[in-house]
Amino acid sequence: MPKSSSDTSDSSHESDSPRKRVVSGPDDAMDLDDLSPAMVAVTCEHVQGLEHSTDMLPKYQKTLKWHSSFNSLRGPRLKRQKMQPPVCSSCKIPLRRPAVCLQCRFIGCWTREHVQSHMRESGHTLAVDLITGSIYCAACNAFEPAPLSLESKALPTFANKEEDSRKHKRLTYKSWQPNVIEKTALSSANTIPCEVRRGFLNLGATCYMSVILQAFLHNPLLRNFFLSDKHNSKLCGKLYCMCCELDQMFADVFNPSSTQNVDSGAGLSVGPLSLLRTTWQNSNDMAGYAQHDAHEFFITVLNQLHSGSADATHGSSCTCVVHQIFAGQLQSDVKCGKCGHINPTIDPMLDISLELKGVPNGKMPTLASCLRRFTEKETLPANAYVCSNCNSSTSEATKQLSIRKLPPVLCIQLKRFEHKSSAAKIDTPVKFPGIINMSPYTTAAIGMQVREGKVPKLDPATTYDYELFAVVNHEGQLNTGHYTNFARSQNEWYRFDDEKVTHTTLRECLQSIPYMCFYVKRNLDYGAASNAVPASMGPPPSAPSVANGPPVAAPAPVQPTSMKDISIVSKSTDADDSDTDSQTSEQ
Amino acid sequence: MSSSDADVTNAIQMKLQQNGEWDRIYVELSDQLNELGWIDDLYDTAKERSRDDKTNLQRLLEDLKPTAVNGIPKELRTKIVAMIQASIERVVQKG
Repeated sequence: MPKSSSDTSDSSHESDSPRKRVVSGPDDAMDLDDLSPAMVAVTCEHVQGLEHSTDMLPKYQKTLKWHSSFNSLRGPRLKRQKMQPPVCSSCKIPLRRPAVCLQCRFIGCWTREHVQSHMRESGHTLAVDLITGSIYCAACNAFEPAPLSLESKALPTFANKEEDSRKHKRLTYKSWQPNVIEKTALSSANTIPCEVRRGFLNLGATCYMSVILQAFLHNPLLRNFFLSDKHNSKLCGKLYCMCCELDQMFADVFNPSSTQNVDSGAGLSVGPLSLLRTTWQNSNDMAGYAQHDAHEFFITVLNQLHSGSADATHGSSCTCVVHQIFAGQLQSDVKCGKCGHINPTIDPMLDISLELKGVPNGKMPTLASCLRRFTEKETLPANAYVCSNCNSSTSEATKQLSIRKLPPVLCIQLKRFEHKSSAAKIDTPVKFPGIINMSPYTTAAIGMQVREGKVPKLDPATTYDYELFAVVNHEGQLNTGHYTNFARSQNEWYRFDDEKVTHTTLRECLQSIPYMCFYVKRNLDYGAASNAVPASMGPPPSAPSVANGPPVAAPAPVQPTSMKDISIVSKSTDADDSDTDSQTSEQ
Repeated sequence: MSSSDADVTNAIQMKLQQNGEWDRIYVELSDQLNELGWIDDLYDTAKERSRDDKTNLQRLLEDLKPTAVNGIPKELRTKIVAMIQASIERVVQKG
């Protein structure tokens, strides 16, 4: 049963399996020689043994690599897919979901339990499920997800040889290990738990701010950016710098003795006064204690983060944190009704806004159906468009939107408020999923030409999978309503209502009426890297306390240390890097 | 099922996996089930159930399988069965 009492500063999970070894709490000494994320919050000892085994580990990696090139559910079929699929060693049934024994040549099926029988008869312990990379341990009779350090080497996104022939040199992911100086510094530091949820005090109709800040806090990429000191508020000299405010907010949330934390009766909550002040200072529109629109606040903060970022550039290829995480591209193709000439325009986007007006009554709309409407062909009224090819303006032109480039974090807003008429809110519930595949809405899938004559190929399906991590909800009417949100932390769901935080379930979240949904790409690729890394990987559950000991950069799970070198780029639908974007302003 | 029946089934299944029909049907089923919330529903039930230490993998699978299978809406089931039938007919006709 989910906890119903407030849970703000308590870090231990009430549902810890006794087999799990979790490093948390100030009394656990940090094992400085073994900080690889794989070894924390790990599983049964048999799977742990996999990492050091000389025969099973290479087999594990090889089979996953082979299967990833063989298995591509969506998109174009590769030559090798026309080969024979593997069959079960016992019953010969062809397997689309093979389970491979790591200790012999047995491949088996689940439906008739031939894998389990093999393990029993042979005494072997580990088998791997090729679709997910999870490892079945026969001794513990359980599935364990693959240890993170192994997973990064074997994930089935870009193991494909055809992908390897790109012009950039590839970086392989390496988990961070402290050097000698860092080790000394860390040994005198106290460990504090990273699994913390804190509410935000409502400073006067600031619930619109609380929900967006929670969405930022639970954004794994943004969290990693600030926790690894990419913008150090102690070193930045600027006044009213939004990056500093967010850096400070992350520090406050994870540090129980921060002066920003107030006992709100519901545990320790953060009072974000300074952040509010900075927002007002930089944006007149957001000033004042009136209720504002959460989405407007979201965009305002993103713009302020961009302006305050050292890496910001104007134009289409800005590498600041905001653009690396949230920026995508929308393509709009207008087709002349007379000559068929297609005129594409490319616009940058920080999020997607979906219309709810005109949704047919009857069945509850789904997020997918809203996205389909967003990308369907629309007929433009006559004389609205003059074709550049044949100069005709009388025939009906059609316009179609598609997503040309998907960002690592996708924010989807449902347009519930019409700002012209007063208090007109569209309260239609919309069914949204925990995982969404975005490939049907991309320019590649819709078949529009990305560049003249070129239709881009679809990448392996898994690159388009996005996982939900936060949802913003709004109750009531436009100016008199209240914002609350759900967010996911370490695969558990929580509901946030200003300072109140409660443990809840995915089901509760999915049953709520969404206003904004935040999704993160399941498998990130490091721009020049070959191996995708799960986005849910974060800093290890313990981090050195900032208060004690000399200031030390928090462990960064990513190497190299400069954000510039990494340039997290979502796999775009076009093969080349140079974009001929039109210089349109940000929304 | 006699062993020759099993051979025929396996041969058809092999063909379907090779010519891409299997994948096409799988993706259609998976997308529809996801959009209906069936996958999230099953995931949440399994997750909440597995908090109980007394349960194990086998028991979880046994308990959830009937709910999962019955939870598939009739309309979708009919549609997918028709897709499978059509694909099998195409394979069998080709000989």
